Formats: sequence, C-alpha cells, structure tokens
Amino acid sequence: MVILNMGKSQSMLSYKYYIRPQAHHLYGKFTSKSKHQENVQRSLRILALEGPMTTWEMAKVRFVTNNDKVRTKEKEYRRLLVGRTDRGVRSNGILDLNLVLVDSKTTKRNPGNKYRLSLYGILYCLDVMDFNEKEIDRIAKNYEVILPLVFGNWGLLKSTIGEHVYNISLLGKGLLFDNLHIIKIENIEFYELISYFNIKSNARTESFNEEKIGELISLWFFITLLYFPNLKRKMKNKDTQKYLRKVLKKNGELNEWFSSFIKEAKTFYKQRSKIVNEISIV
Amino acid sequence: MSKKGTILVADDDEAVLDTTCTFLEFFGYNVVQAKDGRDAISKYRENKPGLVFLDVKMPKMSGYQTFFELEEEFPEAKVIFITAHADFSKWKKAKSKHALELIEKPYSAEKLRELTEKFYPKK
Repeated sequence: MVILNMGKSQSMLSYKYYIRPQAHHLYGKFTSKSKHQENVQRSLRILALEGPMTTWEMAKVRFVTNNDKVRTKEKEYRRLLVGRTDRGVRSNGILDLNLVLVDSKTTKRNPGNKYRLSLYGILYCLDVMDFNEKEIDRIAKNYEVILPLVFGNWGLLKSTIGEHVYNISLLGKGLLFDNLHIIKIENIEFYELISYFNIKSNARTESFNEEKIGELISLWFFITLLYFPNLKRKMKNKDTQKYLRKVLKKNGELNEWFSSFIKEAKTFYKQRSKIVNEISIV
Repeated sequence: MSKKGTILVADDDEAVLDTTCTFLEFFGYNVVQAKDGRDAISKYRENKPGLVFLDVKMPKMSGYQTFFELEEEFPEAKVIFITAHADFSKWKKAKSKHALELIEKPYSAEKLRELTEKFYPKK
C-alpha cells in the first residue's frame, strides 16, 4: 500500500531545472547509460512496475528462487537506494535526490524499509524509460494514492480520451510551458490557464508537499487537454474544450476541483485587470 | 511510447530553445537540442534528424554557415531558419540550396505545427 508523504517537496520548476538534469547526469538519460546507471534504472523500473517494496522483495523480482543471488542483489539495491560510506567517503543514493522515498516500515520476518517512487521519481521514469502503454497502466494503478486525480481516474480517462492519457509522460520531460511569453499562441484559454498554473506552481514553494505537487501535476494534465496536438487545427474555441468537458462531465469531484481552479484563475486575472485599469499615469 | 520522428533545434537563446522544444515534443516528436552551430552539426551527425530548426544568429557559427556546412555533408538535410533579423541575401543563397523556409521571431505555436506537419509529416 502506498502512503502519502507529507514532508516538504521541491517545486515543479526544481524538477525541470535541477532534479531532472541531476538525475540525467547521475542515473542516465533515455540513451547512453553506464553500467551503474543501468542498475539504477533497473531498480527504479522495479519500483515503478511493482509499487512499494523492500530491497529484498525487489531482488526477489529478479531472482525468484535463488536465495544466494537474491542476497547479493538485495545488498546492491540497498546500496543504490541509500548510498554508502567507504573509507570516510560518502556516495549518495537515489534517496538523496528524492526520486525514491521510504514508504513505510515492514515488520514481516526481517524488519526493514519499504521504498517507493516519489512523484518526481515517477516523472523521471516516464522520461527515461521506454514504457509501453500496459506498463504505464500498471504504474498508474500502483501509484494512484499519490496522484489520485489522474492515476485514480485512469480508467475513466482512458475510456474518454483514449491514448492521449499517456501524454502525462511528457511532463517527465519538464514541459511546463513556463516560457510562453516568447511564442504566440492562438489558443488563449490554454495560454491563460497554463500561465496561471505556472504562477501558482512558483508561489508558496515553501509549503509544497507530495499532496500539493500531485495536485499541480494533475492541473498540468487537465489544462493541457485544452491544447491537444492531435486536435484538428482551426477548431472553434469551444471545441478546444471538448476533451476536458467530456472528462469533467463524467466525474463530479473532478469537475468541482477543476472549477475551483478556474474560479481562482478568474479572481487572479480580475484583480490584475483592476490594477492595470487603475493605472493613471497619463 | 511511439514517436513520429526526430527534430533538431539549434538556438543560443535558452528560453526560445526551451519553448520551441516543448511544443515540438508536445506535437509528438523526439527533439534534440543544440546551443550553437558547431553543436548542431555534431548532433545532426549523431541523430540524423528528419527536420532541423536553425536560429540565424548564433555564437561560433551563424545559422547560415551551419546550413552551408551541413548541406555539403548531408545534402538531404531539411532545414528551416528562425530569425529576428531577416537577412534576405543570405536567405536567397540558402534557398537556392534547398533550405525550406525562413520564419521570423516571434513565431506562433500554430506556425511551428504547420511547418513540421508539412515538411516532416506522420509516417
């Protein structure tokens, strides 16, 4: 079972400009990986596809019956996750970059930590690992507790918007649309909402925890439904809302949550507009 | 996840590079970034992209210089120029060597999509 972590979490901009580049540097990109990076990615892949696990259980995934090999692998996974200190020199583990978190303690036979991917760990995995659709479905099922608005509604989303549900992978690449001022864009609804999303996700950085980050990731997902690359061009404005409206119509809670975001954005722009209107230099 | 193909984008302005790449990724392409002309040529050799967006004004090597060098080695390279200051004399020369298009900054996301779909359509 996945348990939501209420400790402090870094902002989404940190993911784009710090965590992701660091993870690429330390643990590899999509292509060109060292042996160490391959091992790290293999361990992350297990946590992605199997959900929270102890290092022993992770090793068991690879070597089901051979206990000697499991023991060796378990040590290797533990070293990769928590790091090591060798002759006074500390080597960081995956936990230090917060791609993996301690989910809970297990008391079964040998007490130990259960590890799982953090939200940024999931994004990194979606970025660098070539998951097929079935595997992404498994990740969604394993981690629905930490991303309830998207992964918790995976079945509904799939039945409504089809393969576009897998666009969540694009966020792994850090596609935040945070530099939109330098490009013209016809879809104003998308432009304004994603701009407000970026303002919102940069504010109150201090108070971010996994729940808040999960909400921001969900907002990104639903806002980008307004700018679907596969939507036919030259659609009328109301048509760009087609996918989003379809999804929201089917789930009252989602509808309420997204409506409150729209309301918040409207209040923000109204206040800004009021300030601009009150400028009386000339 | 299946991708349509690879596009190379070269621009020394990080914000422009980031936004252009964001949209191209969002359109479903795999994107390779380069920060100057030299880097663009080496990334082209490495990735053999189906389409290239080259900023005209870049350090080390201008977009046009990059194109002429690239064109000698890879005459099949499909290149679109991006510029804030159109220099039509060089553009005419590049066009005679099969450069595809010249778009002016700031360009729109829709223009980007139109050009990629025109010159590097879905397989």
